[in-house]
Amino acid sequence: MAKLVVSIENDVQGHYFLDKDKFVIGRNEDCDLCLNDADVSKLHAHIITLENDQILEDTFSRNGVRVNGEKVVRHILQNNDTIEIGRFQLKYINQRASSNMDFDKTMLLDATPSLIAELEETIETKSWTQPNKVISISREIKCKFPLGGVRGIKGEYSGQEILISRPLKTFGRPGQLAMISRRPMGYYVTHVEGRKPTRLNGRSIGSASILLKEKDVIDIAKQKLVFFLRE
Amino acid sequence: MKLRTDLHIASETDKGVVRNFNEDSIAVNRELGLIVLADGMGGYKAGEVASNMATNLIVDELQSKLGNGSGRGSLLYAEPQKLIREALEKTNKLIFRLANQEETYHGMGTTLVLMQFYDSRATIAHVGDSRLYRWRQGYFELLTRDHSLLQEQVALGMISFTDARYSHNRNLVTRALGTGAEVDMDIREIDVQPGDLYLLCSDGLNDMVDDFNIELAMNELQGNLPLMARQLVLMANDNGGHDNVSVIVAQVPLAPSSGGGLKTTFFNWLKRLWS
Repeated sequence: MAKLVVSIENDVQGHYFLDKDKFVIGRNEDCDLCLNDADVSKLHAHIITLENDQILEDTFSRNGVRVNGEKVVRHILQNNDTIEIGRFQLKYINQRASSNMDFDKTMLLDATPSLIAELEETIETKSWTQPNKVISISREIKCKFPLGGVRGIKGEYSGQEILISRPLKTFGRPGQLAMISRRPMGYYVTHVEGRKPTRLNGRSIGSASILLKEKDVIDIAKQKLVFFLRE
Repeated sequence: MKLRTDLHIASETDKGVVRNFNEDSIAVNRELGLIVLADGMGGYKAGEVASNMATNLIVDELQSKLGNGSGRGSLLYAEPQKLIREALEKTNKLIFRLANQEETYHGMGTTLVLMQFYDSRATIAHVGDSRLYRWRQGYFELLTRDHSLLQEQVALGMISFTDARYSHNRNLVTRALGTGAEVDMDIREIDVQPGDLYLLCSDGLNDMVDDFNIELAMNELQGNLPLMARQLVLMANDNGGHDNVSVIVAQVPLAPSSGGGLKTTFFNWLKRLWS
């Protein structure tokens, strides 16, 4: 279970388990975590637990809340976050919130929290009419991708240097295309479409994806491109 | 009345980099103009059972209703949503029943997203967090809304769009097929235009690959759908491949004609042999 380790200047004061749906932090004696200090508001902040997430919210405190040095109003807690309230440091410990891996497996939410159920009704009514804003939750890339590109020596890009920083880029013209894809192990060239094959150093690559080496020459449509890697 | 037998369709499903089995399941039936994708959940291999049941049962059910009879199209035209709704409800009951009968399957379920084409229209339905995207004349859009806790949290303003990526609730779906006696699905009819490109995917894709990179692949690789499908899966795996990843891409030909689709397919096949 997740817990807070409370300390003042590295001097540990106590451990508090976040075992409630709403864990209240403040100067009031009936708070779940009572921090007796003039800089702490009576009801300073709370931590809401919603399934795997624990969300820290500043409840309109006078002096605010910092997490890892930055002022926050609302923050989804991550393992080892340090919350600062007044002169107290609250270290958030939750092994489960450290590894994303555990949470990638799709699971059905068993008992839908009543909060969600209640509010779902209000959302439902506008689910289709509301412009559908996309939640982008994809992870930041953890693998190392090299950076490289091509220099045009004939055709559209002649005399230009094109850095390929996105996962793929196509070259040629509609109906006659080749793709250069950027992957963790390097850049690859693949024929996309067109009756004439894409050529690498003069030879057809067929339907294979081929790892590019520096100074490799690619022919597609009427373009000639030389591959390079940037250190 | 004809169904979309001239659609160009390609698909890929992969267990990803981390997991040992693939609990996703896909089905493509060109004859019916039907594409179905499911992402199963449950104990040891039960998710695989649930997602396989879902895709197979739905195709079988619609096949039996639409069959080879001459009136198949009119049946769809009359009450397309009713037909699909009933197929999903029946499938839900069968998975739920098996889950209750067999202890190893207890609690299993699956997400589902499907698209049924009929001429210039299509019915789309989904349960859970598998998605349907559309690329139309350069505009890329998500047509489904995830039934997930994260989506609810954002809708309620508990989490901002930008913070959503730090949530640990990304995988918690609020609805699934086969986990209860009744199923709560989103279903609606949309118009279909020549040149439209549709993508059905499991969360293993959109959790690992940003939308603007999904769009990039859809935009650039339209001349080679099998490559597009492979590239999408590859991008998810290159970014870590934490989950099973499945995609189905379906393209509506620019000039709809009877039989032309088949010819083009054959021609493309020849071209691929040639190159």
